Amino acid sequence: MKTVLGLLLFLTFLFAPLRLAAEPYSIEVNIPVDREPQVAIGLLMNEKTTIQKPNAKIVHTRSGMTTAVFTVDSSEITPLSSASAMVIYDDGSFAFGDIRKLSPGKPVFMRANLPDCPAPEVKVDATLYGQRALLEQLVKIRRERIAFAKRKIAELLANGYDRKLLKAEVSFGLLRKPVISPEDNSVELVDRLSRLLAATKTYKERRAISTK
Amino acid sequence: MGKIKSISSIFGLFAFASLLFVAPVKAQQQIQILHRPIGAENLPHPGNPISLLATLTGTGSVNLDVRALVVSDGRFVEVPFKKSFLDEYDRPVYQFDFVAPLTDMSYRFILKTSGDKIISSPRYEIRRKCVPKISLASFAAPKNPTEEERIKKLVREATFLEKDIRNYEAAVKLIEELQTIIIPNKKTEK
Repeated sequence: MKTVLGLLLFLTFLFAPLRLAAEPYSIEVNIPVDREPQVAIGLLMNEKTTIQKPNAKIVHTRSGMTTAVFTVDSSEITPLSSASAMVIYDDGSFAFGDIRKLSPGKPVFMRANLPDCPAPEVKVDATLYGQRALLEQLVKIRRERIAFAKRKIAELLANGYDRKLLKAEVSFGLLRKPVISPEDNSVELVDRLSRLLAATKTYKERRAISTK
Repeated sequence: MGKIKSISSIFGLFAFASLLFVAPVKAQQQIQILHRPIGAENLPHPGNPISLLATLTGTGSVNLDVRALVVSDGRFVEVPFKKSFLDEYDRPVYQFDFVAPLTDMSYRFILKTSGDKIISSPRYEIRRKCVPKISLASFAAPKNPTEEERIKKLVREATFLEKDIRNYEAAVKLIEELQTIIIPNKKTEK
């Protein structure tokens, strides 16, 4: 009995590192796409080799990005490893994703796996019961303010200015998507515009320095 | 007496030499970039403005080439500083305005000095623990709500719309800035 237990203990210690080595390691890579890709391939780049991981999962995140999600064995990761991905469209053209530095033993931050935040807690007291009409009015006013801001955005984007902004986004290598519209989600709208403004300002500053 | 005189003159010379050398040493002091990062719990609603402040030590200049290299929600953006000013200790502070990410952001500040040397701050990382709701449709409403549930829904809606208004109004300002300063719209140039 003692010998059997000893043998089991020995085998456990013997195979434990192997089990750890085979642990799957999930990687998420952002890919700027302009249409729905057909397939995605994960790429694990080590010092001298690049390992292809076919059939990577294509995930559309809530931040408006398309990502390729794939797994590699943790044993394949070295201190100099990095990961990327490529997508192939149905017409045979392709696009590459960002390059992410990997650290052995340190998991990659997975945006696609983050849970949704719960709805904010609201305490309803007696005074709130009496203010329902006021609350409805407040929501109505706020909706009208949004509608007004959207109309203003539509005016500003009229006469082909939306296409002009898209052209600028493409030339700066920013996300390629349909033209900016007032009907876009407000978070996406402000994110795209701030990136474009930052890129344009940086470009203008650099150009001013180089022409000095 | 003569001995005391010679000692005091040696001290005088030493003091003079100290003054002569201390000032340039102070001027050559290593520039450092200080920053107090925002905690994930203090990140505003996605899209709402955030200001990142970088304080420099070892210099008094507010006109240096300081930039923020930001990776927001996995996408890189280089942000030039919006304004610079001196704080209460006369240290230059550079302010970078950007928008709060949906899930995460990492950033570092870099300063390009005259000798093409780059001084960099450490890399800061902010990650939300969950994804905030960014559309009203994502607030689930019960089928036959009670009065309490109706009120709760109204409060949530009003709070969400307030943040949404801020984003749409910011979008208007951003397009106006792009239009008037950066990429002029010919139709508006009258």
